[in-house]
Amino acid sequence: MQHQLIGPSDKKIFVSVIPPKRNNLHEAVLLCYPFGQEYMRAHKAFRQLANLLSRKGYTVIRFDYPGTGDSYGDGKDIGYKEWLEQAQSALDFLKKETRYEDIHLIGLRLGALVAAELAEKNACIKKLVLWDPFLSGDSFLQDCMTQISETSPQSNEIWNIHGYPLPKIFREQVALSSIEKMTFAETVHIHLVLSHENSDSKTIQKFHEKQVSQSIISPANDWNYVDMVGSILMPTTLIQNIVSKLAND
Amino acid sequence: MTDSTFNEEVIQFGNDNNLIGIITEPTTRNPLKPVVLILNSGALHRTGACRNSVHLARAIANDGFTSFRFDYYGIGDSGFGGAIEENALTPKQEVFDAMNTLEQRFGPLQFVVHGLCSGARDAFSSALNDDRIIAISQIDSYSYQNKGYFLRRLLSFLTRPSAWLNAIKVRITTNNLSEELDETFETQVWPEYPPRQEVENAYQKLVDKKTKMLIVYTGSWNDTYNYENQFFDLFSKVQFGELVTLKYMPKANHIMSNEQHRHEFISQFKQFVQLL
Repeated sequence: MQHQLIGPSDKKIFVSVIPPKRNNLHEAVLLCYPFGQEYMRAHKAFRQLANLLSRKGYTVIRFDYPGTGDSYGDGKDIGYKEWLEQAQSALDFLKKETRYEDIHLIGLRLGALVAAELAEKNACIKKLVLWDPFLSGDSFLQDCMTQISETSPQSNEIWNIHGYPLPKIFREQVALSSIEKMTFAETVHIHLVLSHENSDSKTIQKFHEKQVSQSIISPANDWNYVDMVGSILMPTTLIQNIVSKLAND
Repeated sequence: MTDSTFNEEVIQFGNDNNLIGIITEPTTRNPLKPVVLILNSGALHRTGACRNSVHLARAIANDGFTSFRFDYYGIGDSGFGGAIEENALTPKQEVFDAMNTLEQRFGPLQFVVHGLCSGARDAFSSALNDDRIIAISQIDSYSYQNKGYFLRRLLSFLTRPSAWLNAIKVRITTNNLSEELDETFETQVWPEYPPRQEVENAYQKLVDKKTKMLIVYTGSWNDTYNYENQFFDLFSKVQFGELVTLKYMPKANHIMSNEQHRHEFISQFKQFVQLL
């Protein structure tokens, strides 16, 4: 496994690349993390997902958005546009490193929205896996508001979502993003992987009917659960489903 | 602080290079200052809950300190390969591997080891076993209920009628909570705390070695720790003298999700390491 910080000296992002462990398929997968507490809870699951995909023959890359994880920047100053720019940088890095023509994206929660944005803009994307996705930035913000109402009052400039900053600039920019409004190339296959169905997933189904397939794998993962101790989620069955869907479809 | 005040680099080390860490170096490194190791807490990877380990590393880089945050075997991005600790006071091999790796890079060093929760206990056990560690910083480490604890708890209960009502409510509504847990929910299980006497003896050893200690307890530890100087009462046989800086943060939670509390801790930590 190769871990490195890439990009300009003041805007480095952390990336982890796992080469295929066997039967190189000459295809690659980019994983897009969720936001905040959910990122911490999902980190191990993403690593497990990356390992299983590499065993199937994929090259897999994970990266931290600016202002998150080991990437440079403070979340207080980062907008959603910078997330998208750096997600694109990670994708470009992957393309340059591998020179593969078939690249797939897997995004969890807010990461699904990021992955969808990339899929809309990049012709190399063949499969898009949306894992418990938010339909839109608005849906993500509503979810955040539910969480902050349970804690302390927030300033308008920066919301604190269980210890992770969500600045006004990020909120304004993410609010403009919606999978409903996106148009994907006909060759892109979208797979919804859900721990539970909700109005967001139903709307994605409705608007991209011809391109979407869906799996619902219980139990429902509570991504919002916060125990103040730092427990993590490892939805093994769901991860296996993603791997087999990607490899077999 | 702008990102230009430090530089970060990924380092792979340990058995088969299976361990991964990030070194944060100030733009100008002072070789006389100790290097700060930031340990894993539970199952969380090296960035720490609420990214606290990253914030700490970059904040102290501003004061000229180099730090290294890394993942143990099987945690975060590190591969497998480590030994299983025999008991709570057995040190983590990964901490020694990290120190050796950094010494290969910089030459002989002194270290400050910081940890939260299980990381705090690892900092403690490592310092007991390695003289290169001149100071430790522990958030929510060993604590035990004592007379002072029970007295304060009783007083708090008696003076708050809402606590009585809650106690009654809990008795009525408690059912089998384990059935409600998500089967995919994962926490980590650690060895039980050693007897208080054993930990007290170990603190005495650290005092004998003149190890400096920053000891912090948060409000989340109120099941066992509920007053400012409880630490000194728990380990009353140890003459800590000036070696211990004790900070009680009853309004902060364990992962310091409130930014103000995080700043307060980082500021205390910076003060602590500046005086070493």
